[in-house]
Amino acid sequence: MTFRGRGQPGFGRRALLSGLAASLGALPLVGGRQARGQEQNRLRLILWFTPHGTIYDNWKPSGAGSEFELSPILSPLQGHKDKLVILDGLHINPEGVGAPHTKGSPLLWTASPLLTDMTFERTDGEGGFYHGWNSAPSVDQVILQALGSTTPYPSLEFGVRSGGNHPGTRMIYSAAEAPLAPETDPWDAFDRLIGDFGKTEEERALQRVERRSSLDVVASELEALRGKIGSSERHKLDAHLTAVREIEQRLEADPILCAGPMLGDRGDSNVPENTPVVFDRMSELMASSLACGLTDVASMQYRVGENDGGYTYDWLGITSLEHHLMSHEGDSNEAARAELTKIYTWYSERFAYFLDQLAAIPDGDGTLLDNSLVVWGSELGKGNTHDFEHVPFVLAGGAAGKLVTGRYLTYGAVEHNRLLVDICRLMGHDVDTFGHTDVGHGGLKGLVL
Amino acid sequence: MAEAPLRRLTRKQFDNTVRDLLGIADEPSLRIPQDEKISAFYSNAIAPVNRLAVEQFADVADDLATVATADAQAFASCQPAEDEVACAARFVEEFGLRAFRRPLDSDELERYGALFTEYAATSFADGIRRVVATMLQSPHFLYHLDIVQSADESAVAALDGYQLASRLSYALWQTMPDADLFAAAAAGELATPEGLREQAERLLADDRAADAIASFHLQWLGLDTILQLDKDDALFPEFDASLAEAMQRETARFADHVIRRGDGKLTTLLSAPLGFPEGPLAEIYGVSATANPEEPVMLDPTQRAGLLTQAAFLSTHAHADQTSPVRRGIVIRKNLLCTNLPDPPADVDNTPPEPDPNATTRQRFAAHTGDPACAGCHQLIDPIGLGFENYDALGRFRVEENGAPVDASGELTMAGASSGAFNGAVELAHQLAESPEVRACVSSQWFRFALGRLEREPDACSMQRLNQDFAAADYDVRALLLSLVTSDAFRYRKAVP
Repeated sequence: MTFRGRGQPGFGRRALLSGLAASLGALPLVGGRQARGQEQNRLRLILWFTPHGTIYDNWKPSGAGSEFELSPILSPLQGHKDKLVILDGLHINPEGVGAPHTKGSPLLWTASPLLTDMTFERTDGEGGFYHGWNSAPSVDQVILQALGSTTPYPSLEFGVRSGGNHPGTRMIYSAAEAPLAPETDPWDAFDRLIGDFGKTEEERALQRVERRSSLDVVASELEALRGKIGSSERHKLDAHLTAVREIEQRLEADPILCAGPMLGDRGDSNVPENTPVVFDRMSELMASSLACGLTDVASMQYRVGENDGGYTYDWLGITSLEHHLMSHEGDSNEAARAELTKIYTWYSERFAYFLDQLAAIPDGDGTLLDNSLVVWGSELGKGNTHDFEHVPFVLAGGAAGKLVTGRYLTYGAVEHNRLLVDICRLMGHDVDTFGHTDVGHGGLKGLVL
Repeated sequence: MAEAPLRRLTRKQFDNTVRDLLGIADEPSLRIPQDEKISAFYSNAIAPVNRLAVEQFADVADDLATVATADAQAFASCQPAEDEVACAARFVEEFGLRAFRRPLDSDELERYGALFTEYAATSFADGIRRVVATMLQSPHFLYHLDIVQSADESAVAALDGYQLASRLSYALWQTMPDADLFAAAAAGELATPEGLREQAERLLADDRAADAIASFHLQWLGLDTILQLDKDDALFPEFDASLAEAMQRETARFADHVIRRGDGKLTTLLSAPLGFPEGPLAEIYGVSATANPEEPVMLDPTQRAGLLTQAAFLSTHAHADQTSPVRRGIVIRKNLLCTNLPDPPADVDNTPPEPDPNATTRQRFAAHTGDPACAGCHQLIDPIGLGFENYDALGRFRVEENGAPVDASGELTMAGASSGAFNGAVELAHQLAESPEVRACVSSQWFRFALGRLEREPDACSMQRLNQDFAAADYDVRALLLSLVTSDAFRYRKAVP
């Protein structure tokens, strides 16, 4: 049976165009609603993750405030320099169980520790304690739960080779023990989000009707089951039912038909060599989803913090050592530092590519980038000592006028909970602390003016 | 009786069930979420599904239903003289029983009948297809729903026949019950331990049990991910997908051979010098490739003893460019002795020491036991792992490393009666094979695998009986399994008021 290779589009997906801007120019917006961004300066939140920290000396910009120069690792972002705020000197409070990589990933966006229910074991062959899923929701979901959502998808999670279903590989949580697994295949995601252009319009309409019929039945079954299941397990059926309702609501509304990016020929998103292509296609799809109002909240998880193991960067000419082992090399190993710098610079290139997409899309009074708050972080400061100090954070986008950009801000070992508070506040959710690990209060000094 | 979590089918269970239900065998589960792992075993017992998962279930269900019902009349086994409405009603009842693994109640028959009617307005095939697509995304299909209701919340109650049939078939086959098992459930034959036992014996004798036995051993020993293993191309150019697959198949075949065709003993699993060296694997053992990969080959008993000296275990628990006494020691400690080890300190640089042409692995790893900060844990780990130094990172036997003779002496510590010094992994394997700690650990591991959850304090009685029955059968795994499926933990669960 042919699950994967659905029909090729009358929509030109076979042609590999590199940028979303080109495709937006080429394709009319079709369907019921116009791109939402043209209505107002609507604020979007994007969380962006790359693993294993950085090489701090090669990451740290020079200068201060609005007078600064980008570092070698950040140099690919030169074109967006005036849309960045670089945050130097934040650390993650590494409270709780779990090996450093394992707990760092969920700590990044939740600032809350893993549960200690001894359910999971490390999956990297290094042994270690059992632990559970994370104990609290991530910042994007906290904001959504406080403010609600009017988009068809409250949030969209995207990932690139983002690992298995394990606490060390899951970062976005809707609640304790409720990780939100990301979409990891841009072509599957395209079919789901933008529309399967292998089908005719009638076929797609029929599919919506059929799906609603099936989900009606599923919803009534879940409701009937609720009362029969133990109270400790009922939340699983509730979560399932909530998901069904969310899909039903979307199917009942007029479909938003987006001008999606041209993803080009389908590739296997699990093959390491395809990573650069898959990553950029995902970025285009993400920008597209934000542009046409499918969602206002999105996240990207590149690889896993738990252990970017067994993973070489052949396309950067790094074939000898895999990233995780290399990140463990001592600071005096100049060769390893040079290779790692290549990897971290490549991260910046991919991030810049995503910002390119956002910057190319007109939105409200400016561009989609102007109306976004993009937060790029990592689970560690540096790999070899599992150091939670100097975790590299970069903000991008004007947050719909709320964030003064083009700045380099330095801090003396301030915990990243402060940044998470600022993210909440910028998005309109007024809090003073964030996460179970928070030992302070308030936002970062000087970030939100 | 511990609270049993609500679990979803694992990917393997999903694939096998789709295969047996629809006759489609092409790993549709690659399109549904990855599994959680509860301790060493896949079980979707904690995290609830999210919007993406529900859409994935729906997408897969639609596609599977489309393929399965390409010839809807044939799929529904309509009789020549039967009218379509009667055929559909019969189909809903018969297919529903197999999809939900129990008879549908009258509400369900009505609901799915109505669904058929709605879509049969276009065509009979559309009606059947929608019924199938809906059942395949129903919670009654996706979850292991062994619900027991009682007025008393603290009560435990027996599972009914169909629920037991499912528990039995997923534990021993990793798939849905077959027609005989459904018939036994319908006839009430599973209500007694004797009846359950009789069916369990039948299931174990059937070749479908090989799948569950392979799954158990590969997950228990951490070998299920061997196909993702990376080795240094310069040092191990022969390591490729076909070799990794051969290694994995060997361990699976060996376990099945011992348990279903051999004496079934744990001792044999941990000590028999048997291999199934298919294709490129023969060279790893220095034997000639076998003509029949299903038949065991006798290996040198001074070099090989059971599961732990097979290439799959040895190469998985090694680094890309060298052996790993630490990984090998940890997996023995954790998965065979069920010892919980603390994490290494957060700030430790745990890069394995660089391979050095002038030193042996033992010399390079000496820092662990020399440094007092590391020694606390590593004295539990390294003296076991260093006993495996006769095998390189692919599992080849060696007596020299970098020109120096291999010292494979070791010591099993903190392992109760089985503690003591040994020389080489063959000796260690025999030592572990007789270890009371390992035997108790294996009971626990099978419990976790079969029930998809950790054993908890309220399961103490079941665990005790399990261990007694295992001992009484001289540690025959078949006896352990029969005891497990007739235990209280298996047959009962907490009731819901």
